[in-house]
Amino acid sequence: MSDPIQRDPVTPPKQTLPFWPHYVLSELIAWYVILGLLVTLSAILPAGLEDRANPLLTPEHVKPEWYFLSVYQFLKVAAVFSFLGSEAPRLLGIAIPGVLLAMLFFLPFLDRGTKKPARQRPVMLLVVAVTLIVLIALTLWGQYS
Amino acid sequence: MTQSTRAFPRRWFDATMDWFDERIALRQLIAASLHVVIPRRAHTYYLGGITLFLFASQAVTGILLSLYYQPTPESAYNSILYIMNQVNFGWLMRSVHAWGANLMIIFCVLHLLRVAVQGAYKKPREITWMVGMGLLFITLGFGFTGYLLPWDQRAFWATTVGTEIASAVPLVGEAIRDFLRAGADVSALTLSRFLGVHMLILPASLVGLLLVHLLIIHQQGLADPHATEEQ
Amino acid sequence: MTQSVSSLSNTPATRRGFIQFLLGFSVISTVIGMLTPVIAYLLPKNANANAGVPVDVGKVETFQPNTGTIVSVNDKPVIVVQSKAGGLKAFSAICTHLGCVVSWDARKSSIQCPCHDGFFNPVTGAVMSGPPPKPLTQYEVVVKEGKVLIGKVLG
Ligand code: HEM
Ligand code: HEM
Ligand code: FES
Repeated sequence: MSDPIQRDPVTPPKQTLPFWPHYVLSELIAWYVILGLLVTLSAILPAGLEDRANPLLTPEHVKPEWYFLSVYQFLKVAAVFSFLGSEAPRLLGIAIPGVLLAMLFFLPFLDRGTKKPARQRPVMLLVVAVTLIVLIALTLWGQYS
Repeated sequence: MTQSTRAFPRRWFDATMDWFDERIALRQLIAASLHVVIPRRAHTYYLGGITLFLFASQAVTGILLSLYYQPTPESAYNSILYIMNQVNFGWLMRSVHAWGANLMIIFCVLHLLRVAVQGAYKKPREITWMVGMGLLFITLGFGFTGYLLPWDQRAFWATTVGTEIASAVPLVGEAIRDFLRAGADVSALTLSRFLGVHMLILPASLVGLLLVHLLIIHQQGLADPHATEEQ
Repeated sequence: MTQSVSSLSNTPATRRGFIQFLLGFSVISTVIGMLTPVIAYLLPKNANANAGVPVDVGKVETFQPNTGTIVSVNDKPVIVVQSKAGGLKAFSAICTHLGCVVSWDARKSSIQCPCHDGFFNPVTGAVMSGPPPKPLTQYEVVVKEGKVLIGKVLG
């Protein structure tokens, strides 16, 4: 048949492997493991259900889902910006995560350095590590406050 | 002897393939999809593929749940109780959907981290990255809209505070909040809106963007994490 | 015949064949393991779980002489008839012809089906005229403390 397609003009890989069956079979095994994980988790901890929604009764400790907790907590923490004016906490609480997300979106255009192996990119590794630690800390803080 | 038994399904399979081949060049299509190479030292840790698998699982369990789910404030809660307690394996379908939602978000973020750490977003893969960010937002949207559907206390109040966050946006914040809620409060209209977004708008958007994501990856091949760009 | 049986039992003898056999077996059992819950999930539950338990359908006074009233028993329509000839009776209101819901014809003092003009006897449920092939199913009626209770199906 036709030649294997390989069209990365910038950093063409020197040594290659066929995608099929090598990669595909490993991928299928990974799916199998995840399927097992899903069923096991569901059997051990099935989805729960609280009381029927009551718009007239707020329960204690209302929280968003865990994946929104860090942003939610940051909005609360932003109260420290009150020295910049009464509106500052609200504005910065939403603007800072917004700007950071926009930066993440445009990351390929912000980090224009040449492509190097991970170990030769200490700044990137540091940024990733710090971001992760801050996000996890905010999430835990939100969970237990 | 062994050969004769093996040849049987084999011949039948070949004949079917021939039939399709004659009409839509099927073998060529399959070869074009699979006959690619990846860098020997590529390490994806299968994270993108696992996210894809979890989405497929969400689609199957989600569609099955929608066959019993009743989207009104009066009956949503009872229909979930019915799914959990009466329908055969209903508890399993709902639990797999709930766990799958969390795992899909986790693996999507891990996939993002892998791409970030390896620098696989760099030229020529900028579009793949930005489309990926779109996929991340859609996945989070799935979680946000799905969470309201059981209509229990946790669902109702998590959505109330979640939509309230939007009102922190300057000037248009409250308009955005009311738009999300389809009114000033979380109500029956919010439930309809979230269900429509969860079951129609987001799945269609995710599938569309995913096709672009995968087509570009197929076209370029995976990034070689050890390659250094030659000047 | 003999050939295929012997070759089947021969398959695991070679290592390659054995591994293929194991692989095929696991793939098939996984597919079955995934399809079984899905099919079981789709099967409807038996809605007649509480059939036979008497259902209260209202006070006796609501069922006046020469009337037939449609009531809901376990989500199924039942016609409660108070006729001069036979007193209080209850029948399934689902026509035995094509499943329309029957009603009371006061002029003819009988049960009538609006769809194809089938008529049923208000005492026995038997077909008097029209296309229905079988009589209406009769239910047990009990009057207790002034209330009408619809019980089990009468054979
Ligand atoms: C085609 C795709 C999908 C369909 C048709 C669908 C449908 C549904 C339906 C009918 C429910 C209500 C049942 C219930 O609350 O248990 C639900 C709940 C939910 N869905 Fe989906 N869904 C889909 C994809 C997804 C995806 C991709 C995610 C995740 C990122 C997701 C996250 C959720 C969550 C978190 C719930 C609430 C689960 C709970 O009860 O705790 N859904 N979905
Ligand atoms: C629903 C979510 C997503 C799905 C299903 C998905 C799927 C995939 C798959 C299957 C691959 C092939 C390689 C691998 O398995 O890792 C891939 C590669 C890639 N993804 Fe995603 N992805 C998703 C989200 C994202 C996100 C959030 C980003 C980043 C912001 C992203 C950026 C990329 C990039 C840049 C590549 C190419 C990597 C390389 O060439 O090594 N994707 N994606
Ligand atoms: S359905 Fe009743 S007479 Fe035809």
